[in-house]
Amino acid sequence: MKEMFSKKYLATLISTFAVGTGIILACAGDWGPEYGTSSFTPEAFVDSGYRPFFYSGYSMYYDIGYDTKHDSRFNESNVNDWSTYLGNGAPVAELQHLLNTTTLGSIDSAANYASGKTKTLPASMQSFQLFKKLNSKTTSFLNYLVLAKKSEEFAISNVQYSWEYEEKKKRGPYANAAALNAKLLSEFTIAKDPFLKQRYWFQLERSYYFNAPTQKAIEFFESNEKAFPKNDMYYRTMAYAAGIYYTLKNYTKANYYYSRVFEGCAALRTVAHYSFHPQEQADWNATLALCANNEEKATLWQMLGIYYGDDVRAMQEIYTMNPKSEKLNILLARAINRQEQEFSLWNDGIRDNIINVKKDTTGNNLLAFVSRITQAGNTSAPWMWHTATGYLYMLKGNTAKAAASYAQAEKKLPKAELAQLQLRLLKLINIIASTPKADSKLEKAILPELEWLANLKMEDGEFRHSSALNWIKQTLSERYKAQKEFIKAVCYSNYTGFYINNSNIEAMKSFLAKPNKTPYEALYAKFYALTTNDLLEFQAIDLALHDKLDEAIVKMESIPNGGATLPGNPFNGRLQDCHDCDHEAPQKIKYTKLSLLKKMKDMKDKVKAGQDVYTNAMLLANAFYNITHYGNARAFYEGRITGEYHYSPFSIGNEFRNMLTDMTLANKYYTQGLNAAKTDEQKAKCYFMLAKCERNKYYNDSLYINRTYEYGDQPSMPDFKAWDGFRSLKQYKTTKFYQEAIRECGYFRTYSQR
Amino acid sequence: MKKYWWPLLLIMVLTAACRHQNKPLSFYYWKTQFTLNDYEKSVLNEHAVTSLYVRYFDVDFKPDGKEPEPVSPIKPDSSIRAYRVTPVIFIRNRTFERLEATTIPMLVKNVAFLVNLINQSQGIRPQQIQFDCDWTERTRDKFFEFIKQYRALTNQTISATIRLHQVKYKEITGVPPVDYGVLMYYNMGAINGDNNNSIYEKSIADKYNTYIKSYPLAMDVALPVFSWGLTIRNGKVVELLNKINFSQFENDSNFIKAASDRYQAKHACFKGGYYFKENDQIKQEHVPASDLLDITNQINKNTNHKIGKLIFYDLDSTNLVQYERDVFEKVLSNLN
Repeated sequence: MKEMFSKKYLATLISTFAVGTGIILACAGDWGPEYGTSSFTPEAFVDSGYRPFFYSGYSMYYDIGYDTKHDSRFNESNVNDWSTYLGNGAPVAELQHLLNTTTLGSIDSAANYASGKTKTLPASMQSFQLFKKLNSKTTSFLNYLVLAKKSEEFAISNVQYSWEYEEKKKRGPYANAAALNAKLLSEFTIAKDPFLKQRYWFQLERSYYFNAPTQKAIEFFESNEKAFPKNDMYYRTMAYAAGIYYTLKNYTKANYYYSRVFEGCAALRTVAHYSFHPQEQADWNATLALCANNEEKATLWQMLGIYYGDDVRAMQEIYTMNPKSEKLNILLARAINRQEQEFSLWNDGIRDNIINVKKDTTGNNLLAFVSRITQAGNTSAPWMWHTATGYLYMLKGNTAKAAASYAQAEKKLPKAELAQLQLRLLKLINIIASTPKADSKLEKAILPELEWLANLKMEDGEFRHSSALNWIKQTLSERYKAQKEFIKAVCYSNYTGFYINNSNIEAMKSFLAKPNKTPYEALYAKFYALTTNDLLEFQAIDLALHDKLDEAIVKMESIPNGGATLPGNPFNGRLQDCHDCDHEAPQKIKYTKLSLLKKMKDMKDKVKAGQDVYTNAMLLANAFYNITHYGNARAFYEGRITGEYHYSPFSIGNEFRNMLTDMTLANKYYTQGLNAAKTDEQKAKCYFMLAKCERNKYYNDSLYINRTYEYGDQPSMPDFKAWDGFRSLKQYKTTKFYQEAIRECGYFRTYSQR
Repeated sequence: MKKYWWPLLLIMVLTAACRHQNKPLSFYYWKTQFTLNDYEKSVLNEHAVTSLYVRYFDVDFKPDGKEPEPVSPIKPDSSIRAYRVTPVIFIRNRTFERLEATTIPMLVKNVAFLVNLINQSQGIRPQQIQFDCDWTERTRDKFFEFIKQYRALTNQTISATIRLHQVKYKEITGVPPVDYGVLMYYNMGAINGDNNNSIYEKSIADKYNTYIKSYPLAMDVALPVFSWGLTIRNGKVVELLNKINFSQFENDSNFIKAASDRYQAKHACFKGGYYFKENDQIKQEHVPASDLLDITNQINKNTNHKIGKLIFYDLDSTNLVQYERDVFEKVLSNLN
């Protein structure tokens, strides 16, 4: 059996306005986990029955998003309840089938069979053990089930916002309500078995809720509620009574009952929470006045804290009534998880949000409150309060006080794994935060802790540690950089500046190759993002782009497979650069990074030896052009150090922009080609290619040099410049190449017409 | 002198007659139950309003959802039959961010199906539909494709709401393939609780006005007659208070007046179904009649008289009572 009683739930999720510019509520990061930047795992502190209410940056309910179980929440417990009632003769699978799958018609037939009215069972039930040993309990069960299945017609929505929504909701009032209510009432009245009686009580109350009369619903609930045990069925019934009070605008009573449901039945917590909705201060005061004791009041304050985000006020009220109340735990966890988001900052190196320790007034109120209660030492979980206090101090940069709090927490730490892990993690962060210098003493202290953290096999959603690990790596990297220990710095957090200096790369290669590393060296070597091959490849690229082809070949040869295959013919030279055209064009020879270097080396040797200098110099120049950002073989330089997918020179890292856009070598070999050119056609072509190099250099020097030009304000640049190459090309008007250039290149055409 | 008097009068009368050939007036209806109270009916009657733009449902693709879903479809009563209805479907932009292009035909069918169900429930046959989506550069292709396929399936006249930023940056966000647009002349500022009015602020509107003329679509214009409150906590807007009656804060000892448009919570308390923490500020934002007239002046100046009709957002007596009854007439006659 299923149920659904959140009518207003449907009405509240509408686009309130066609708002063009949304408000950004506390959204942590850019689609990171819903808990944002967090190192405080609520599961370590809070009963799992509160899980939907853990802090979430963007969901209604943590982990589940929305409550979609209105129709199925009690399916399993119903089966268990009936199984217990019916005793050993009732196989669970059969009960599951009868309760959750079978139609009203089949149940009706089965009930008739059980009561002797008919002789045959529906085909699907003929093998059921349940019907082999019929007794009065089975008959009672089936009679009940007939009425319960009838009630499903109005009590179940069967929709979770499907497109047939309108049609299914358009059922109108249930036609046989009066007869059903009369039958349920009579069954309720004659039932002697308390289990059955309570279930009829629930069924009739629910029917009153959906079908009226509402006044009867109130009387029926109030006059019978004392007779039943406070089990799930009791609170399910109470939730309907609360719903009726709500529709009668008796918010005082409705909210009081919702709070009782919230406290009494974990399965209905989301429902009670969603429906809980004081309207005016007077309702709220009256609801508090209805409470039979402080425990009930504490639940109301707990709901206020959860629903309306006033954690501190709620904790204050609960604490005053009962310092030992465990209702404080979820509120404290939420307050801390919300507060951590204020201590979070985007980090470019990590490409994620990480902890941001800052010494300002952020969170002073919460810290004052939490530390006051911690000092009083009279809560039910002092270690949680000590841990929270320590964490807040740590985020605010007071590591001494944090350490003292963690030490207190340790004295009272439970054995539970998550509790142990949580404190260990926070202590590690604190040790690093409190030691400005990364010296051997610190290294010794953190070695076992970092090994533990790095080898942890848990998901971040189980134990929130990734953000802390990222912070640790970034922080250590910065410390080592400041201390000029660059190998350690780059291992903890890779940064491109490291690779500008070849001696750094050589040192890194030696370090990676070093046998018998100390345990600490082995640890940070494991954090290093790159491999020796990445380094060799980068060195080869760097050498090639400095015209040191012999050495480049040696480096590239030590990499498996000679590096990536290039997508186009790197010896093409076009009037207009068109990478896609080159990549699509059929190619007889496919070059890898290595085979390209070898071919270039051949040509260079021939140029030197004076063999067919024009052709070889031009092809070599084309290749040097193409392996820059402007050419068709960017794949040659793309790698884990230089980066890839550069959509413009702006997107190349500062360290490499000059290296990857430089036209010097192309220019050098086009000039050699020009010097060796014999015909006007050849010369014309050389001048045009030189103009292209000149153009690229112009933009390198005037536009791409300044990163701020990428977005918005660009320097005032002329629309048109006549390159030296174009001026010289004018001498060759009669060549075919000139005509082709006029046809292909609008820029040149414009110039030629001046 | 006397003999010139008649022609002059004739010209004046004719001009006046031209000027008062008002454009049609309409309203958006944006609640989940379509039912009109007496005040709303009387306003519609007084201004001979025959057409309404009625929000039918939202479409959203929730982060935890498997496909786009309709959200809160409208439940109309029979009073809707008295009007020429244009259904409006609000599609959250994230729907198109997540939607695979291959599933657009399915979404088209689903939307048309549900629109039809709602029409059938009251036996009405709208010939038009409007899509309201704050589409962006990233979602334009899918949104536009959705519109094309919707037209192919239903053969209806299709309009779309156009936000001012989409007018200004039309090269980036594109122009939707619709029969006409409705320029949303509101919600132009950031909702950040500063001293600007996020619903309408002239200085912000000025940044967009000059672009309206060159927008290549026939356009109606939608003007704001709603108000809302913003709850501001530690300098950040934490909640939008819809349709809240602002005067209720006046005599409540839990609140003090902090500025002409702001109250501040002296103590944490519940009020009007909302909870306020101590020191929360509540800022009222609305668009007074003088601003509505000012907006029409801006539109006159910047649209080449291209505006087809005037639609007020939104039809709800809690909004309408904030204005003199003749404000709609005045605004309308001020529009060229």
